[in-house]
Amino acid sequence: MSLTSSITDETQVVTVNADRIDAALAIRFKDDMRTETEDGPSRVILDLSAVDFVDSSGLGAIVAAMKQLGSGRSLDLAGLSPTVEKVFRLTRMDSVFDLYPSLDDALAGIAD
Amino acid sequence: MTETPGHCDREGTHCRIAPDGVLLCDVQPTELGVRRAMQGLMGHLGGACDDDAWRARVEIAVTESLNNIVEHAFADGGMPMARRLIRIRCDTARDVIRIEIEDNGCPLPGGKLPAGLAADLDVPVEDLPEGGFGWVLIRSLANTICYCRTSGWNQLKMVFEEHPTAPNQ
Repeated sequence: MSLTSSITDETQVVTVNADRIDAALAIRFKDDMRTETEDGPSRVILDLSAVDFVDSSGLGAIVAAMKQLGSGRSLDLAGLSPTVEKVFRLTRMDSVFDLYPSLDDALAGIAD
Repeated sequence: MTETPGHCDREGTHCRIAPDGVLLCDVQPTELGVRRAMQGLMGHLGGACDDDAWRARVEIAVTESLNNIVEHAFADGGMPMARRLIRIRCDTARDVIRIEIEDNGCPLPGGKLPAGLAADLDVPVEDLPEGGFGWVLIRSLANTICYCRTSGWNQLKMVFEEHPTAPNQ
């Protein structure tokens, strides 16, 4: 499993335990996200603090993970490294997700 | 050969530094081979330049280029794995990094670089794209890109200047 998860009040925090979400991990990440978020709170925060690098396959898997949540649930992203943030910005996916500098900011609702 | 940060030799992916300082990598044509080659390349660049944003541009664009080769140029499965070849050449100067990637897979569609147009994101969530980002990133991050097909080989040349003038990098 590439992920660990905890639920507090109305929020689920899913932490990625890998330094890269690349083409070699993307399918497993998407499957693990489905398992972790099959049901649960309406707000899910994906904590990317340990992730140094996401390629387009990883980006696609994160988009897929959001779509898997279905309507009425949201996927917010926290702790993006400068490189990961660059991938989101250049593909304009930073307009699709709510991004937070850190997990604490995400939990407090302080946007990037 | 002495061990350096840029030298690795693991499971089909081999990196070495030529006497002129150029890094040469033979990449195993798999997703894990790409990951290992990028570890070798970024280890080499870590010692050659200290600008994190500059290295990040190279890391993203080269990863996407190699992913494209593994996923598309060798997609038909007709060629035995042992005959599939990907080579990287990385030449660093004071304010420019030059990358050449060669592979003996299928040519790019139409024999030219894809346009790399950004997808329309003003759509319902269920219609958001999960792919097609690779050439958008490559075109955004490299200062110049050149593709040619010669004698059954694809050759992609990318130049990364330390101080880009384009606004989105």
